[in-house]
Amino acid sequence: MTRPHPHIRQLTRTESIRRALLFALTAIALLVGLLRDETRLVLQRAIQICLGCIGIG
Amino acid sequence: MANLKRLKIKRNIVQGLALLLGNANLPGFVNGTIYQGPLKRVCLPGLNCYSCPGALGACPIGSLQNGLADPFWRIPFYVLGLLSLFGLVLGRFICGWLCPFGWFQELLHKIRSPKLNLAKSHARLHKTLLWGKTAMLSGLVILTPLLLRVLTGYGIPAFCTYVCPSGTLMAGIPLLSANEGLRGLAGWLFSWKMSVLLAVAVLSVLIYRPFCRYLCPLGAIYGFFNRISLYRISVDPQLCTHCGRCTRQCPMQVPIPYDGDGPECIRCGECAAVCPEGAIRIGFGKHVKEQDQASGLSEKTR
Repeated sequence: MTRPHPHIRQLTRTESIRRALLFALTAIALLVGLLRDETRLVLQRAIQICLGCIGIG
Repeated sequence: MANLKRLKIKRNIVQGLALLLGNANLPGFVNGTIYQGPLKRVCLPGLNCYSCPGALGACPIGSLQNGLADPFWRIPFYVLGLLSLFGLVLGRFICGWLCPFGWFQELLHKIRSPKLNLAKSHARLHKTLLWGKTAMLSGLVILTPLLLRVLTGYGIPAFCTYVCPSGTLMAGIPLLSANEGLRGLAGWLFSWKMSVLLAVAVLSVLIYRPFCRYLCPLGAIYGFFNRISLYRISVDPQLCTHCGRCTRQCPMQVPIPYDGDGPECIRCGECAAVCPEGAIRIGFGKHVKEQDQASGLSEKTR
């Protein structure tokens, strides 16, 4: 009996559209985040020792 | 076999370099302090705790939780955008090649011992456990900080606080070893987190990357992008003889010819290295298309 052919790993049209949309959303999210100066908020948290992370609570 | 050996060496070198580059603030390990420079505005792609004394960047999961927990931050667009960008470009390649905690588990798995292959021996349990990543992401990373913020006005990064073994390994142990003041504050939570780390370490000896497979929320995020990421896997049906070597070799037990782009593939490349026909290619989209054209296949043939 012939076994089914494996699929060649190429994006379907739906997947291509989904990828393009996600790239667009990513760009928008990054832009909004940068405009709102969220990098400063990330920095503010990241430069303090996260007590929970190290097991002090 | 030589191909496979070369690939494994190459991957170990890349994983080591990624660990060093992301954690290059070496004096921090001696002083018991963390890096506080501007590079920490950017999230690292892997599960790399930002409280690690050496960390030069922020942890994406920690930053995401902080954004959701903070009453003034609202939606953390920047962190979500970065996570999405990493996922769309590389998918779970990050897990296989760049994540320091993934490498830690891999190194432990090299210890000689009987190995457990849950996908083979307990397929049903394995399939159920795979949902653990999504549960961790939705429950502890997203919902708990959000709910606590709504109910109490301020949330906590629940995953980092109660589970993340990467934080214990990369931040807790080195910081508490070098900083006496912090050591005095360690209590039940540290004991709990050490137990989690120990459990993951023991399981890693028996099972290949148990945390990445069953618990890592970052793996769940990148897994979502795996099918459409630019860095992808392709199997040429005209060259594939269905010998099954790729699937047997795959450390994540992914049925490569049928679901190579599924959420569990970490793009380690071992399938391509053992394929005797050279039917498997891993890389960015362009060469996949060229290969498709060469084999005379179009999207319509799917």
